[in-house]
Amino acid sequence: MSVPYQCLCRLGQSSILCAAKGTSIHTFNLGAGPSHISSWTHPLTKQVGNGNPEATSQDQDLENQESEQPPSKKRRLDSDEKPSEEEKANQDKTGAVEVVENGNGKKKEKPARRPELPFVILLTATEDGSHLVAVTGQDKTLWVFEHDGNGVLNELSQRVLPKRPSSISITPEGEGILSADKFGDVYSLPLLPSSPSEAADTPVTPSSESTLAATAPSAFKPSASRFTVHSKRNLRALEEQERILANRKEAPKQNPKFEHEPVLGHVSMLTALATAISADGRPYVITADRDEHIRVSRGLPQAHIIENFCLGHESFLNALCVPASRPEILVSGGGDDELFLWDWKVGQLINKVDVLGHVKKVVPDATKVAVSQLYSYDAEDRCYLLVICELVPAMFVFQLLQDTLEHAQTVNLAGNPLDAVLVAKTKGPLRLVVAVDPPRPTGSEAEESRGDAQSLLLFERDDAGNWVSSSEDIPDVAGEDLGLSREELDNILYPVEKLRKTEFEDDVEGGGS
Amino acid sequence: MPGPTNRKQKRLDYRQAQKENGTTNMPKKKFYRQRAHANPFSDHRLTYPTRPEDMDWSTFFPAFVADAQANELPETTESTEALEKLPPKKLTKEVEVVDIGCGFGGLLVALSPVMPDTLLLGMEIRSQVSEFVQDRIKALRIKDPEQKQYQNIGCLRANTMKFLPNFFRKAQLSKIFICFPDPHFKQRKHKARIVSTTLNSEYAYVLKPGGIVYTITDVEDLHKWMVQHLEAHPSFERISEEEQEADACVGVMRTETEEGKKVERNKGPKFIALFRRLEDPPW
Repeated sequence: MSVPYQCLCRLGQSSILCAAKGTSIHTFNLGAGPSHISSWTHPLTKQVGNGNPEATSQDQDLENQESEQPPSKKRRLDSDEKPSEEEKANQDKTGAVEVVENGNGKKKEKPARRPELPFVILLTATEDGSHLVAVTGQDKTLWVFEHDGNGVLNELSQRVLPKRPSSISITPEGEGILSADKFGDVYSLPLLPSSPSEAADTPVTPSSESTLAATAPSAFKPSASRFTVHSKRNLRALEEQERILANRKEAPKQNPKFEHEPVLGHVSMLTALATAISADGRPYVITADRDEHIRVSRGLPQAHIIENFCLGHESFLNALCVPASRPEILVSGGGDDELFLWDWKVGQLINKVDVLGHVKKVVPDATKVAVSQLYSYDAEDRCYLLVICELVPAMFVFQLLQDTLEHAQTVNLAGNPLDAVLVAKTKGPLRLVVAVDPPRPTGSEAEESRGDAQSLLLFERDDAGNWVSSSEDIPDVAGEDLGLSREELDNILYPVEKLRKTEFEDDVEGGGS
Repeated sequence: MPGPTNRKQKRLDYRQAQKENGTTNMPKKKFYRQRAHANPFSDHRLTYPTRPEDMDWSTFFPAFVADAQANELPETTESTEALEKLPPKKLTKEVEVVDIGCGFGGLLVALSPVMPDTLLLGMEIRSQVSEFVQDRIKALRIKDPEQKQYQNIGCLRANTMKFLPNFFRKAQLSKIFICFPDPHFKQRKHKARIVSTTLNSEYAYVLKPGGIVYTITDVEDLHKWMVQHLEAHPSFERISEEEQEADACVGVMRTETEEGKKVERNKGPKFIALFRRLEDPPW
């Protein structure tokens, strides 16, 4: 099954569009008659595609980086796919592991749920369009590309982050990246790794690692002592721990070698991050989490100071937007039926604006909303907000008034929108590119109709200011077949509703055990 | 050996009896036991206010409810929806001292007479344990013939690592106690520790400048960890030993928590450190 485009980004003020499809990034020039310029594909996928022998070494690098990560959390496995010993060793690896095996001809029965592919989940560009930052989700890797100004991307660095980023932002000066992750932490990284030798792609040979382990003294010591354990069982456990330690030389776990400073953190999954500048010119970082919090912190270097919280959401958050032309306003959305409008500087709720009602006009039996994206744009001195809700085949346009949002248009689409971006033709009118997941017929039909459905749609504004389909088409690029089932693809493309809390740890019990 | 259902039934019977005879008896711990650890990252069935303004403190501190002013209005508005939206009853003062992970409430009970005019709140993630403290406070209040003591302490179930800012507004608190927290020995679990660089920002947020974080533990490594992380945080400075020992709360903290008594019995060490919330630098 070919995959749709899932992430879009514009490079600066140019008419160059970046669009990620599966594990690849394509660039298009939308200037005069949309044309495809270049492509980049994740090395792991590329390797399968053309059996590139070079890729093996790249894969090697990647494995080595993985080993430099802090101890990663154990992957939760369904009981029917307990890993073999070999797989256990590769626990945190990607579909790539599987893929490599296939490439070597060691084909084996695939388990029901394979490890996820390293899809591009985030794309963002510096203000001037000179650099593009991409994140591939499964392998937690942050990629930086240099853009030559004509749509050709040159891969500069890859860095494996401690946890999967859920939102990234480039600092206003364009020199740093803020990355918010699933673990609740925000890290600051320089856009370009400070010294090339420190970059994550320095190969670490097994031998150098073992010498390191031998020279470094084992730092681990049980924190518990005979004073702190009060039960026989715990005492036994402590003795056992001490015994094992005496016989073991443990290689100390290492943090990633590249520069990355923790900036702030929530004890909750972060879902969105935005930067904003106050009226008096000070930078702020706004973070949103799955536990309904929006936190406003000062920008670097005082990001440890929390200015306030914007509290009022009753379900998870997933999207934040500070309109460029109304920087005092924050719009937030997620699992609530409404969008919230805030005066973020003081943490004051200005208004709530219903979305579910508009969604119901498209999907009549909808009972809840999961806002996946919020974008703002300006047209004719008015500020608009573009809202995408997960699994709703439409886009909602609101005009931002003084203290509320007014519904302006519902743009019905052939499929579910995954992302959208505004691109201006040089001196031309504003245009909107929407990546949709075209509806897929099932069964034998699917094979025949493949490739027919457009995934990148182009819209223009009519005289009334409404979005209408453009007469121009963005050429499609033959998609790689990643061999994903519909279910697997949906799992990757539609992660938002899954943030809603449905299961609770049953703690009525808990006694006596 | 009694099976789990048997034990559960006994507990239910006990709680029922407690309710029926008006909780004049002090609750017994054995009916409130719960495993010592709770996962702060998982979703619990918690009740917490959306915003601090929405919190109804009147049931926790009934003696401090402000005189029934506009609160009498609800009868006139009929719809239940309108009722729900009514602002909660106001107290004459705000909670100012919080014991994070208050356990069975020893510190709260001991501090109550030390700070009779201050509202103290214990927060505990384990539901059984927080219920025990609530019942304990109830019983203590009833036992006092003049009904004046222990009116200034309360306890609620909460995951403070996630929801502290839901309960308290910026700079509301003057003291935070962190007594014998779960050490989370494994390195992988360090994010679950109650003191961390990132969480310290939240403590700084709810504390007023000059407010104090009190820490005590019997685990030396954890003590070092807490000192290192709080000292490294620009919003906090460590309080000198002389000042620490002069603080009346320190003595109470050292001797009155359940965990502190246990350590005492085992003749174990106790490590104490206090930190002052500094003024924010200009921005």
